[in-house]
Amino acid sequence: METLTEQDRANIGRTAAAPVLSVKNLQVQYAAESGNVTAVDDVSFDIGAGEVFGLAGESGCGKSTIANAVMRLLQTPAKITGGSIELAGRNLLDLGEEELRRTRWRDVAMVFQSAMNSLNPVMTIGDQIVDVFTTHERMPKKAARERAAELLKLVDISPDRLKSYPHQLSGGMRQRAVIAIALALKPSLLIMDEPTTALDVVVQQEIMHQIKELQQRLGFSILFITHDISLMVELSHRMAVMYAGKLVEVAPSKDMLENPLHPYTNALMGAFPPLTGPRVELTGLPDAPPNMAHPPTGCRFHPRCPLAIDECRTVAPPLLPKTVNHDAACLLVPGYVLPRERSRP
Amino acid sequence: MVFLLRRLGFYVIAFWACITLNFFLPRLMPGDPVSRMFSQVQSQMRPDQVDALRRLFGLDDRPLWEQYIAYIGKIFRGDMGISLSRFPSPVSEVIGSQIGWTLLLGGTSLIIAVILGNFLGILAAWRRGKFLDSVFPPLLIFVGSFPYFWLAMAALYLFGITLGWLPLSHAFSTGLSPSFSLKYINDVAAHLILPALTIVLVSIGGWMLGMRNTMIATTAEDYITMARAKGLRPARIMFQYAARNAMLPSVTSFGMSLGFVVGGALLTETVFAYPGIGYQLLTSVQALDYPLTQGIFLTITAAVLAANFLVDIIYVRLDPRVRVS
Repeated sequence: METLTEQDRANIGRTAAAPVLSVKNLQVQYAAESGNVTAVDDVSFDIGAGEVFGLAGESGCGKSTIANAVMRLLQTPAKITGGSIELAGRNLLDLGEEELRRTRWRDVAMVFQSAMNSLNPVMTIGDQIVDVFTTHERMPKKAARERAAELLKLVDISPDRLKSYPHQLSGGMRQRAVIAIALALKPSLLIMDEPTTALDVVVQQEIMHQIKELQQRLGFSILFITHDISLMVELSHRMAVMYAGKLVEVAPSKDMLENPLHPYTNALMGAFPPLTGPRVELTGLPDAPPNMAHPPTGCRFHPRCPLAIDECRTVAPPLLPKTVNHDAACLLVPGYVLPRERSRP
Repeated sequence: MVFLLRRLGFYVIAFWACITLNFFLPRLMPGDPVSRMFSQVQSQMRPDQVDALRRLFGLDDRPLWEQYIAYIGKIFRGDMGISLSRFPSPVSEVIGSQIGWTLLLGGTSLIIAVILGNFLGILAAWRRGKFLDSVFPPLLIFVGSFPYFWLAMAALYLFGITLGWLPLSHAFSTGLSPSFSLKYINDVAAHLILPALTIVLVSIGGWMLGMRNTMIATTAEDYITMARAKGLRPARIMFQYAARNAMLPSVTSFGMSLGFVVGGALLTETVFAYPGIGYQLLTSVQALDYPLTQGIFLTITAAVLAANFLVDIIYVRLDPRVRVS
């Protein structure tokens, strides 16, 4: 596992003055016959320039929905029903179709989970890179082809591969090609939705290494989504843990790993074996995540929480700062009193 | 290339199997056409006359394998025997005189139905649940489920008789002789409209629905989401990313239909008194014209195989995954 550099440490938890991405009170609902299901509920977070922000949680907790909401890729029955998504100071939710099309990929690009399926099987890799340039920059084909070759070199793929079709590439290569396509227009934010889930561990490490290197070289921000906590701690500066559509804890990754405050985060950390050190007994969580059509009252985690008290059943805990730069949504974690609240009568 | 050669080999074998079946099937049936055909007049014919006819039709007493080899040799020389009902025209000549009209009618209506149907299917899937998608498929299926002859006669009655816009029957007006003049071509086109239109009307729904369904499945693919995320223009995503992939099954059905075009469109030919293979096949069967029936079957088989090979070639161009490196 790679350790964080001094520079990284200094950046930890620090949100730049003007965040690249600022999500505020985001709410996403899926329309169902039995009524609307709120998949993302009142989620707010900022991502600073050059920051890698991780989003972790079980399957179905709403991570990918957030990613797709930021790209505005959600389709019916999913609908953004509240909040704002500001990218470089512009609210993406206010953009019309054509403005949105221009913004996509130029300001925010996305690497999808399934490398196998995110490339068009009947187009060459080259053509799929070239069409980004010809569409967004009106670049002539020849120049676009040269840029495409450079991009492939950036991710260590031989430019000969421009003429290859996706099925002629290995899974890892395909995912690297997708990363190359994502970086084509040098976006300020890259969303990575479980970019290595479909790959084996060795290839996964190679890709993660490459992403980290590219991020440091090019300085873009990353919204990194995974359910693999160890991978996330390795890559991201700050991370958020999500449960049943809500953020339950936000903290610098190191801090989160060493000192998780929320019982759910605690359980997540306990479910992963440490790579080094003595063997420890792994602990899991009983039961399955809640049915989002009828989320539990109060704290959504209370039915599975080993520490739940009566109040947890009725009071929904807000996400509050508990220590410096460390927010959690739990009634049991003693609160950190904000300075401005201290001065109130 | 290797792939195409292998396919070609397969079609050669398939064609050989067809010739063989075509040869043996009628010979396995009891009786022979000459005795049946001339059963009424047999009493008036001398045995040596009957014998001469048998030999003329290739019904000799040589061993079966000798006949078989002779038959294959003849097929490759384009000699499919002599038609009994159109005696003494050779079968190849009878088919040759009809096949042009069949190809014109079948080809035109198939190409129009495929292009229009697929295009409507693409649009309907792309704007799923909107006007085009909710009105056209049920409407076209409704039209398509009319008995064809009823629809054809209704069209004939409306456009041919009541409105008098279009000619009632035949492939061109009597009195005109085939030539490459504008007048003749216009006349042929005018005669083609009604038969082709009715075929298009009944077949377009299937093409549209097929394309719509594949297209809907394709638009759920991850590469479509990625294309949208890339900020590509909607038209490019719709055609280059979605339709380009969704059309693959359609190409296969197109190949099948293309082969069967050669079989003619019996009902159309009957209602519009249009010349063609379909009607020819019917009369040949009714007249117990074995050589002609066999000749038409063989032509249809060859056409189906050729069309399939053509589709294989197109498919290699369209889907890189088929290419074996």
